[in-house]
Amino acid sequence: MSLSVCIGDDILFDRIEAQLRLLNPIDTLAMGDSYQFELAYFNMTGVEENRQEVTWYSSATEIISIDRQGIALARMEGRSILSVAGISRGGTTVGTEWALVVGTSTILSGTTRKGKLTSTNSYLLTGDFQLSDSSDRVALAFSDNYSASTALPGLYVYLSNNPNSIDSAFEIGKVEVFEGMHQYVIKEVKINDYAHLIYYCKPFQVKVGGGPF
Amino acid sequence: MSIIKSIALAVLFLIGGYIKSRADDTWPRPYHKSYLKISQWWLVADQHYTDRGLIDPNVTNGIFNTSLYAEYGLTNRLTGVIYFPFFSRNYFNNQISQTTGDLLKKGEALNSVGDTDISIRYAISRPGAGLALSGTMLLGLPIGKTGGGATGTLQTGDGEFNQMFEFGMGTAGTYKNVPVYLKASIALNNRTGGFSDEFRYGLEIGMGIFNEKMWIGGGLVGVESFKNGKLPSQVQSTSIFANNTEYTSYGFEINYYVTKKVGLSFGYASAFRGEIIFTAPSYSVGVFYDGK
Repeated sequence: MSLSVCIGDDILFDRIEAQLRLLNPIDTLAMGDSYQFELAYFNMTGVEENRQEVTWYSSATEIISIDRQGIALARMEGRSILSVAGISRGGTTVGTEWALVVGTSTILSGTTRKGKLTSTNSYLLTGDFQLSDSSDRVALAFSDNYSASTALPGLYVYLSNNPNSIDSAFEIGKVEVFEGMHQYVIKEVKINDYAHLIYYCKPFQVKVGGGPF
Repeated sequence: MSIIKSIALAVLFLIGGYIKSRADDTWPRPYHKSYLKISQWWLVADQHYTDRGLIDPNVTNGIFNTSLYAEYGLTNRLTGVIYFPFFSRNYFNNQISQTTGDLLKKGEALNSVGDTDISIRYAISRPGAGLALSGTMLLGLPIGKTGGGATGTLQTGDGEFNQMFEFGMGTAGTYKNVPVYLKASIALNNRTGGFSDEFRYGLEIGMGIFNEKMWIGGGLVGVESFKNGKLPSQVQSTSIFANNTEYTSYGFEINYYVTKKVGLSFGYASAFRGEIIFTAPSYSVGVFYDGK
């Protein structure tokens, strides 16, 4: 009987909404300057795919205009709501919008992203975290209220674009600190590349918890 | 010695190995008499008890052991026992995306011999005494494999050498002309390799029916960890059978004598409470030879 036992299939419920995400947002664009927005498209499982055809839009084109390639031009002082939208493979509309102000200088959007850890099962996982941009690397820092269960044999932390899956996620490493402040320095990642932090038990192959940025 | 194998072993020791052919049969095996059993034990689980005793999911894991269990009366008071899983299989399932149907993570399997136990049981009380007392010294030999598969999470053994001393007592009689027996045991398990030591206990009751052609035994088995080893996150084993496991399980076994010495067995066991252990039941079927 032992020899004939076959490996079966477990189904992972990994469906999420497809998403368009700005990778280099800015808050303010200097008068007369242009700026190329970079966009990424993530499908219904959080995997990045070649960008679909999208449409860029400005609510106040006399203040800020934007062309088909996503290049914005600051024409006069003021504020405009910019948006970009496309059709996903599933036929639904995906898009995002943001406010942009024309000022005296170009200012990047916040270089930090924050979140809170919550457990998605019975194992302890809690605490605040922050992702910070620093030249060619990012730093993932945890507050002193961080606490994780030591009962799991093989707990790993990931950056992912799907809160339910580590497929195509970035593995930061095995969890070595289970209490208090600590940080990871990650060279291969940019601050807006991922949307979720996931704690994952490799032997059990299940998510333990995490949180969105 | 892996925890799941410990459950199987405990069930075998307390139920399968101890089912007697007659209510007044001896403890341990009479001189030059033997008991042999080849059995298939298996468990498939997609849930486990957490460190808080709650139930959480895990990838579907299967464990299958084909084993030889043997007792031999070295003297009238000394019995040699061996439990040898000569074929052990551990696997986990493929992981498939519900959204795309894609294979996200390929399932894997590990086949090898499993961890083996050899023990010596000594009859403290005189054979045939109304209250049988015995002491057993067991050595758990780590000849199974650990760290199997691409991620090192499959195993057929825990990689540690353990020594366990068990004290047992039993009594037999009749109830309304039906032969019955009652047994209890306690044990201390000394584990190495950073694993925590354990206290174990067991209680079994059984009876013979149909002129003792069929014996039915049922009982409880438990393990309490002293939690004096390394944390599960620190133990070298990357297996799902982590350190500091605890459980209380119930089980039963039916043994049917096809002839006076040869028979068939069926067993079932399941943990109704635990920590870091599967929640799924285990099953066993086997063929035995009882040399009486």
